[in-house]
Amino acid sequence: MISNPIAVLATRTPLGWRQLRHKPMRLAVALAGVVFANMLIFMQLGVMGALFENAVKPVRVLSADIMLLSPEARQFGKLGTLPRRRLYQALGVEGVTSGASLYVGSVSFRTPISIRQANVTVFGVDPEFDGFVDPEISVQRAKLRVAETALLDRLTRRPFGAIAQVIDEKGAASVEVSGRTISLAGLFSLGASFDADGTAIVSDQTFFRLFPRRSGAAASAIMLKVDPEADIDDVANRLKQALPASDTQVMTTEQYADYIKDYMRDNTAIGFIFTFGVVFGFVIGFAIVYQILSADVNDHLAEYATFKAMGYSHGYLLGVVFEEALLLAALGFVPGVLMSLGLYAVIAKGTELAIDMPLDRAALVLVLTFSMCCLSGLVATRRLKAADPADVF
Amino acid sequence: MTQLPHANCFGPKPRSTSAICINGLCHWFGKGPTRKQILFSLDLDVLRGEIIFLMGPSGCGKTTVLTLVGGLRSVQAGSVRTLGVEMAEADEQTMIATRRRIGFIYQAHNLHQSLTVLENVRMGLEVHGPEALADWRKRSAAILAGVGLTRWADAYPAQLSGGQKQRVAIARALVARSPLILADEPTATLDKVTGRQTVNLLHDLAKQQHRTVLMVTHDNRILDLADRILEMEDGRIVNETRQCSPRRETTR
Repeated sequence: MISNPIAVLATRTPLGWRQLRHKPMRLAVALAGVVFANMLIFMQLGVMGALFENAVKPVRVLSADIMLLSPEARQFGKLGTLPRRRLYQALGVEGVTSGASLYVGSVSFRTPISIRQANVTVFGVDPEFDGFVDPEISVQRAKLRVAETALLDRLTRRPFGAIAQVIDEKGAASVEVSGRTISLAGLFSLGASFDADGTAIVSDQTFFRLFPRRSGAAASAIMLKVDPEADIDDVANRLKQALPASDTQVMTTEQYADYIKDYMRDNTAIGFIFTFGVVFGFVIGFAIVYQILSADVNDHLAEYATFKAMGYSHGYLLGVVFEEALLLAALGFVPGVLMSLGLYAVIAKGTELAIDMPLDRAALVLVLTFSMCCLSGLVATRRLKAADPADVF
Repeated sequence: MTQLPHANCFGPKPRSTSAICINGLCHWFGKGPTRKQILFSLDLDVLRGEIIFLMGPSGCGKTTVLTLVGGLRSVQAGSVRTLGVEMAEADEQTMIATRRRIGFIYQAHNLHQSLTVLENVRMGLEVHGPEALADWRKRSAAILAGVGLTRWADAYPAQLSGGQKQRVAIARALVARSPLILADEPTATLDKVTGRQTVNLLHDLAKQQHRTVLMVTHDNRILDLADRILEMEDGRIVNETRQCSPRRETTR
């Protein structure tokens, strides 16, 4: 007689759960293992995600619709240079309405009295350019027309970042940069990265004063705004045809953001280290859960053999071990997420990195947790073969 | 080594009243030069409702007979028909299906420690599928009442004495009304009084419900409860004692 599988499941004694519950200390150790593995994986993915997001944030805040970049351009700190004349050529392409050269450099900002300093990434751009996506920058760009004036990222890492409060209260503050006094006339929001404490925006003219060795003819990137009626991809294709690929690559903002993420994941130590961290967390969780499940199978071998003698199939016993594995995954995931959220808050506070918990990451870790526990269960079930019903006599 | 045919032409013929019919059963353990024969052309016919005790010195093959009858080992040579199923030709699924029709009682009770007494008994029903669980509480409670453990229904095995645990194992073996009970030294770990009470209980339930019992035992104190006593030696049945009206006494 073949029974309805749903009815079998509905009436089945939850033996896996009963076994886990029967030994609370073992259950606690197993859950601690799953939670630890979860936190390790969340930590790696969170920091890696924050680094990637930080790397693309300037693109999202500054850029317009299309970017022209040097063929050597990688993430925003390593843009290389391309000829400024490509801007003027691009402005002649159908669908491009405006554009500006972007100059990127890194310099130390310091407060004059309390001598707090920070390594700041400086963006130099023509203040007349109307292609800024961030409205907070757009409305303040007129302030940049005044020489040696800058807008500062209010999320600049402390203690230097505390100057943002002064700007908020008094409307402006002064800092020393390369022996010059720069007036910080406004704030915008971007967030710190691993290689810089903050970001400042200045006019291209101020930029060349801060970086006298940089030439206006060699831009770090060129930002282009496209006619709202035009298709961005069509315009990008036209630009690719019009501009020499030997010194210019054309990307939409989203393409460049994806390019940065892919490059960092596949070609930098960051991608390798954090991916390795995820694998390491998975392996640790696997080892802990395997030890627990394996010990549990060993402890119940005589009982399992008895069940086999009574007519329970090997599949039934596999089900018991997998039930335990799935329960450990489910019960360990919830506190794992909650504790990781706490950890994220601590990291965000300590590093000013924008580290959050997107749903897709939680879903990925959920899948990894269930895979980890099921794999442990799968390996632990090999010991079930030792449950020979003939041995119980 | 000569491989014996599957059925011994001169052994007992299976009858409709046979619960177990063994013909020319041979069995070996080990492989190669260490291969050793344990059973030598064994013949046996056990009628439905009979209570048979299998006795003999350690290593004579009693338990091997029990495991072959119960479908816990594969038959190597000869024929074993258990509840009408030829075990010599049975595949894994047939052996599992046959095991479900048998109640097993072990020397070590092998109760599941994380389940209560009632739930352990329920496991004897659950193996038969959801249909068998329709009135599981009623059936389990009735069988527990039969073994005198009603008030221990919600206790865990760790809270029970050895005799109580063995009675739970008996209840688990009997709850599904299996037509055949295979018991391996169920009194070995019990004291005289508890051992006697336990086998009395098994005897009474088996007789009331017309179950066949094949029990391996060394316990001379309970021999009066058997219909037949088979003595084995070196893999052969060397003596058979029929007890026309088995004695039923209670040890105080």
